[in-house]
Amino acid sequence: MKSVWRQSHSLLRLYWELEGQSRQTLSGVFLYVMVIILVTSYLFGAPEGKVWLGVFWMILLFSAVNVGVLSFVQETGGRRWYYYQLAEPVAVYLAKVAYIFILLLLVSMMTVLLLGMFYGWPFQQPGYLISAILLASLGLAFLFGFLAAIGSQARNSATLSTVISFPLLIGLTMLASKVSEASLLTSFSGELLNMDYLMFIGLDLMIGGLGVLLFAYIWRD
Amino acid sequence: MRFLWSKSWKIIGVVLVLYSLVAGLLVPLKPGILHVSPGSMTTDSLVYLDIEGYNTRFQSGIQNRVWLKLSDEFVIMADTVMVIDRNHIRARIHIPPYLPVPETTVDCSLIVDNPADGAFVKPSSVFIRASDKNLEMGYAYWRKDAISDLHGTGFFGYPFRGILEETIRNTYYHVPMWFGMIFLFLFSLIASIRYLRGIDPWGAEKTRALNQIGLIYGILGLVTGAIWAKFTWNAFWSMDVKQNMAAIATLIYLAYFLLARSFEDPDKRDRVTSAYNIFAFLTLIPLLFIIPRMTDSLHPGNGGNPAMGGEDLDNTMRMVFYPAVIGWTLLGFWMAELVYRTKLIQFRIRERQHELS
Repeated sequence: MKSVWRQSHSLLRLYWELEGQSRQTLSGVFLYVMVIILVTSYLFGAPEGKVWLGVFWMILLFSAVNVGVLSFVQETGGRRWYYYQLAEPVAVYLAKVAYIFILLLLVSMMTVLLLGMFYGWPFQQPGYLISAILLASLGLAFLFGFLAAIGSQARNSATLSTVISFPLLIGLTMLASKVSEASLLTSFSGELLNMDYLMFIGLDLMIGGLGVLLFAYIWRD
Repeated sequence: MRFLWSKSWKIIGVVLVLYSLVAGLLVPLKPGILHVSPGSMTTDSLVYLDIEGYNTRFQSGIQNRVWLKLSDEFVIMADTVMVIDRNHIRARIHIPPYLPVPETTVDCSLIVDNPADGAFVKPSSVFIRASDKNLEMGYAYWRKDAISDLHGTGFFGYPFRGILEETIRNTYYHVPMWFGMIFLFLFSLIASIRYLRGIDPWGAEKTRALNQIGLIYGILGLVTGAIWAKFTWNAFWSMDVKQNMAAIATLIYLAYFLLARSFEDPDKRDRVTSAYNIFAFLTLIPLLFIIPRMTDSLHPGNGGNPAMGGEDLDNTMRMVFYPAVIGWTLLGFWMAELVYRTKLIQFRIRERQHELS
């Protein structure tokens, strides 16, 4: 058996190639982001910074649900059985997380560009926004790698994943919005956010650790 | 003997809950000041303050004294105090022409003392606006009287707090719901872990039973909290961080039951719901214990720290509060045990029917 890292690396490459062939997830999410931005720009006009961030995080959360759910829904019974024989559950989980993380980074880049075009650019210190995006995407990837797997085991998986994940998302969302709001201010001393960064990283690591520990129990069939 | 021992925690639970209901609802509040009018006055005036007391026993013929207190140093005393009835007195106070502080508006606490009720205070009850400034003269006027020889309370009751009033009793019913909920969820976490590790094959069933009662406690905590908030904060829901986090906690466990219902295969259901239960409880901890401490909250304690101590919980209240917490928690475990045993019996009956047919 290859090591877990090698396994998850080759799984990630596999996911990536499959995505490259069908482009189902990325194009779906891209359309979704476009539609939301157009609709909200009709609704809000040119909104202030806080609304900008609110729309951004909403888009990222729902994209994370979609990406997570789609990545498992695409795997029909036979394909899952094949992966299960090939790789250890932890490797599958890590590959899923990396895949969702990369897709979320792409989605956030795209969303930031489009929102900047449609809404204007309210940021004075974009560094905080970027750090919040990185940490939030990581946490969301860990969360949905796990919860979408749970959803895929049950009936009615898309709705179920959304319902069971949203209460669990609140912590990440609160921290993400707090950190990213600092990027709207002209002068802000980053030390005020030390505690928030610590909690953010801690929460990410905790979700990831739990996912690694528990994924095997839901993956086994 | 063994029978008694195995039942003892249930008996203790019931006794403590009954005690908290009886003592919590029957013990009266200590005397306090409900209302003072007029609420604002100017310097250099003669004021008749109408004071409405709560649970007081004002009577003429004994020493009734009233003070306005600006700070420990600066006090003025009412010249005469007329008793109208048990709960109403009228105090005549000469407000001196000058204040002893540079501010033009100050708020004073009102202190009432008599031998029957002891001394009690209403903080920030009266505003005084100064028309003229003279610190030296102000010192002279405000240092004449002093608060001395206050009578002890000698009254067994819960403290009278301005906004809370009688609702202070809800401490015995609202707070234990949260304690009970956390303990039930904690034990359901342990049951889930034991199930997944293969130690306890009935762990998933126990998890479900504990979560069911925990969820009921959570909902009751939300409801008792919302009713309390209507009286004290004037709205059932004020987007307070703890209210929101509590609502999210309930949602998480509602999602647990939704998840449990969407499986046909019981083994798969038990596995997945146990894993979700562990995940959910541990992600809930930052929501319930860390984030509320980082944000401002209307709940007692600064920045949302639970105020288990300090002024809001005096010794009389502790005598009911801790028994209530223990009692409701034990009662919760008993209910969860009953749910679990009912499930077990149903399972056995089905098994027996299977054998017979």
